[in-house]
Amino acid sequence: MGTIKSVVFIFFLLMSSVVFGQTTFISGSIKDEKKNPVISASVVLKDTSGNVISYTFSDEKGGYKLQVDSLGKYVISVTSLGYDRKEILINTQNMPAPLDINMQTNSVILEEVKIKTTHPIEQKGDTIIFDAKSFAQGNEQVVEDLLKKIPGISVRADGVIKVGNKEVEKVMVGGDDFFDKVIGC
Amino acid sequence: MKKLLLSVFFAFFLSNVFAQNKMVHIDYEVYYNTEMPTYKFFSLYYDNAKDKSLYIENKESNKSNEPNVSMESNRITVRLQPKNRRYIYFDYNKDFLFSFENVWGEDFIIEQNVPILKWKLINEVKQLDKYTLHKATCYFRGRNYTAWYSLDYPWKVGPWKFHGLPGVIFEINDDEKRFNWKLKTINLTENNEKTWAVDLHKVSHINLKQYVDKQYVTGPKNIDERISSKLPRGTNVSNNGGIKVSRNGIETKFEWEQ
Repeated sequence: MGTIKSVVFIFFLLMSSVVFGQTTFISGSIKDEKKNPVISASVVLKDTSGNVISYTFSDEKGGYKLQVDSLGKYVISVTSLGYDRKEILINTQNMPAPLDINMQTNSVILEEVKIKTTHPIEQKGDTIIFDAKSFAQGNEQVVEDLLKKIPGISVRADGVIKVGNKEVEKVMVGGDDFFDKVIGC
Repeated sequence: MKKLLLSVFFAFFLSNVFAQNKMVHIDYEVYYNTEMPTYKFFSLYYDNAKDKSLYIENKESNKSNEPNVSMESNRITVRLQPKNRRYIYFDYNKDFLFSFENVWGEDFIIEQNVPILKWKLINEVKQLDKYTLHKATCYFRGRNYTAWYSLDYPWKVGPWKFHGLPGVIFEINDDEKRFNWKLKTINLTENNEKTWAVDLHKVSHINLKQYVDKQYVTGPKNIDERISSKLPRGTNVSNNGGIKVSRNGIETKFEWEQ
């Protein structure tokens, strides 16, 4: 009798975890037109508004496995060099298992990236230009806080600004004299 | 029939040749906003098929033939730069990471497993030129980082030891903005065996714990002893138990110290 009770209890325990956990796995394999596996493809699971929920990379057999913690609609996006990106809309309550994905080869191999970088510190003649944005940590209340974060600049309690040991006469903010501006307000 | 076989053979052959001969080449600019603000330039090579990557300092970053530690009659100079180019070599399949470091004037290869970075994906995007970048954050060895990656370049790589996002990292920095990495270019390049020919046997291999010990405990002690040996006989030095090296590098806390 005791054993039957515990068996029933365990049965219900298992049932409930299935119902409430709602954790599912989406898995399958990624192949090209010739049925060759597409390896190291990035497999990204997004919600319907495009936020990345989870991701993985396909293994040497083209296999992938993703965990989903709540049921619903998602988009699986597969990207790999030399193939067209594939996006599939799925519903975890009604989807084929395994979910195999076929990729189309693409002649466009890679669009080269070139980014113009701006340097946080530049020197022009006797002027050193700091790109304040590069030093801001987001918790600055006043300009003083920001100035203190620029390498080599110190701000004394009486407001005198020093670079190294030299007192600074002019601080230009966005091309305007910072001191004039303060007095003007 | 023969023709068909031949063309299938060539198609197969060509696709293989392509896969083996191209690799991803990314250039990063690193800005160290530290006590000595500097820029460094690194190249990252990624072999998608073999799942290995090499992150190596560019030649022009570092040119000097001075010895690493020189002892003259009245001064000791320790060069903070290794003579050889620093590199970080990942083999994701075999689960190892080799990093070439200079520890108190001596070169070492530090061996470790591929560290697991627990990325938190943030629902935030930004535009950089024409690229859409997604935000992610993680804690790694003492610092919190914010990364911006692109889903259009679907490789898990990034600068330094950063890896494991669903796309290439375009920008990453720690919360204090001391260490700032920025991507400059991505292109495909010939997969030349020479690129991977970093000599792994020339210098001794140590593990991460041995490295931390050398860098912060035994290394400073040796320098202390060398200074003492240079002083005139009978001189007493009181310096509170020797040189203390503060941990202000990229890694400040290791897994076993958490």
